[in-house]
Amino acid sequence: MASGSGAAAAAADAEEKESGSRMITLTSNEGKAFVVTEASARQSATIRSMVDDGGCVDKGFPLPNVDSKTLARVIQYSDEHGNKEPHTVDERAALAKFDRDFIAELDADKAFLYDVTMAANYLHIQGLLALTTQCVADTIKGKTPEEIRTAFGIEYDLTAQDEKEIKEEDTHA
Amino acid sequence: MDLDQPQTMPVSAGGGGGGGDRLSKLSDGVLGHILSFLPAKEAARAAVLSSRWRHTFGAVHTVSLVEPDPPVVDHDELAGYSPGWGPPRDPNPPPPFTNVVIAALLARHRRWRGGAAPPLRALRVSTVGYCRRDASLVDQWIAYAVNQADPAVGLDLDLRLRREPLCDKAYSLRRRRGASADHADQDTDDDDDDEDASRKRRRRWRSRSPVEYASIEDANLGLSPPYMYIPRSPSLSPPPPPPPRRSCSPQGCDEDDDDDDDEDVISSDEKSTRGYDYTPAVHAVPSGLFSCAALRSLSLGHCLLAPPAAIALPSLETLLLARVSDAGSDVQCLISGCPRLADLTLEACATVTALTTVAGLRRLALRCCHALRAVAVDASSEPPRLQAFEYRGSVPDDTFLTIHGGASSPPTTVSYCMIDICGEEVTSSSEFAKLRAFLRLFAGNASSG
Repeated sequence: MASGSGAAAAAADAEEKESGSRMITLTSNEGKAFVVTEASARQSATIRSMVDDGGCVDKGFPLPNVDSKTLARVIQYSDEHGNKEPHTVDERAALAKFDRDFIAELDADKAFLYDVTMAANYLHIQGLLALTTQCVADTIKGKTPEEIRTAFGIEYDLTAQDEKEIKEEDTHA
Repeated sequence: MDLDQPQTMPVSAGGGGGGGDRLSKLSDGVLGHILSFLPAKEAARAAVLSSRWRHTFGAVHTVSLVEPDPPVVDHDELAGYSPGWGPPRDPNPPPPFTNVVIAALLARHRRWRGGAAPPLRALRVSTVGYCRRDASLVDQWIAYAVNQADPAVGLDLDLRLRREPLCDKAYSLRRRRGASADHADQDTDDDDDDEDASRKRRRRWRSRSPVEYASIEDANLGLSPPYMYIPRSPSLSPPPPPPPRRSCSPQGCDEDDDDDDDEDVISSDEKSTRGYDYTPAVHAVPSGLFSCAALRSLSLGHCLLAPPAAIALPSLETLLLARVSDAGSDVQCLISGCPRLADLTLEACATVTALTTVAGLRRLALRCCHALRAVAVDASSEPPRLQAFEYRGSVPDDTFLTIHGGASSPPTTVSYCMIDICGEEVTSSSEFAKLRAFLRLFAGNASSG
């Protein structure tokens, strides 16, 4: 009995080691399937916890909140970050360059940037979320409220009461 | 940016993207994340954007505040007033910066959709100066950060309580001439020196000196002088100006690091006859900080660590100490007490003379710790992890750095190495030899030197 459970543990260990090469299927809300390595999928804390809970790895994970275009882009990121672990300074620099190019491309298409941001938030991919939110923050930085409203198309709808409150808060800080 | 674009038609506006105001449709968490990248002042200002943004500051997980530099003193304007008089005071002076920090921290907890503020991930504060009356508030910042942190996400605490240049040695590409200690005032040399001296005079008024800062505080407070004059004795003056620092003054020195004298350029002779020294107030870090399990990154500038005997920082990975006024042994205690330390930086810690690093360190940076004489890097972990080394200071002795342990003798896995010699250009052959020996330590497989 004891030896049996030992063997099971060993098998689990072997599986753990192989997990790098295990493939996981992610399905977008349009029903399109994407096959990724487990290392790549583990970039997402959401999927990581599902895998670790012994979820249905074989059946794949449906992602009802993410469309195909966004998912493809998210996978592009997590492949780059999940499949290779940077060890040397050069490798890290290469990864940083990938991030820069990645976000520069997204920055050109703001609507898509928000899609990716929401997907990163939903999937809990911290690195990607930090990258995209940093990009939005850079756009906001140094702008007056009026400029920010124009840049993002935010409609001004504060009441006089709100304005008064904000003014009061502001005198304290 | 299209400022002339009508606000009500954002659909095709450059940044707006298709579908109107997409940004505001993001979840609170994401908006908080975005605002966390901004200085706290800007993040708080987002409240005026629209009702959607009214309470987004409550979702912010990082608070960073930098006290603006005081305005440059206009001496031409001051010259028009009698001594002791000046232009009228600002009738609405900005609130004390320490209060601004507290207000920002409390603002996280203003009513926000009923939800509690997310755990604090980072608190970064940089002040121009520090005086004793700030002590309790600074303690409160730290206590707040420790309490609001979540061990699962970690905490990054960065407190710089005084702004000073890293090192008072300026670069100079000239040979040292008659290296005597004190002819800072002698303009006997060539034009270059005149220029140097006049630059010094110009530079020294860039901002309010600490003594001015202190005297303002004195006036406000009326009691308990924040600074004191103490008899000059080598053991008592915390930022001990070691002789070499003064001796570089003829050509090399930038203006004094603004903490120990307030008059015009003073030679070291004159200084020693004055018999007193200005001691800035130093904040003693509360000992509770050293048992914060969530702390991942800690940067402290101008503090007194006074680490307790029991240091429990199980998740601290990054540590930066700048001008801490502890004895070197206390600094060593702290460093030894961090089992997971991977990144260590020491800046201008004039009290540290010897340093032993923990195994597992990946990056070590030593900047202008001029009293540091011996560094022992423990590379016994397998595989050796030290990858990056930075050094700034004077030419190190042969015995400065020893890398011990590990199967492979000295040459480690260092793949990034930056050496920066401050002060005068290195010209003597003996110094070159030392430098060569130093660089050889990394020559094994370093890609740059």
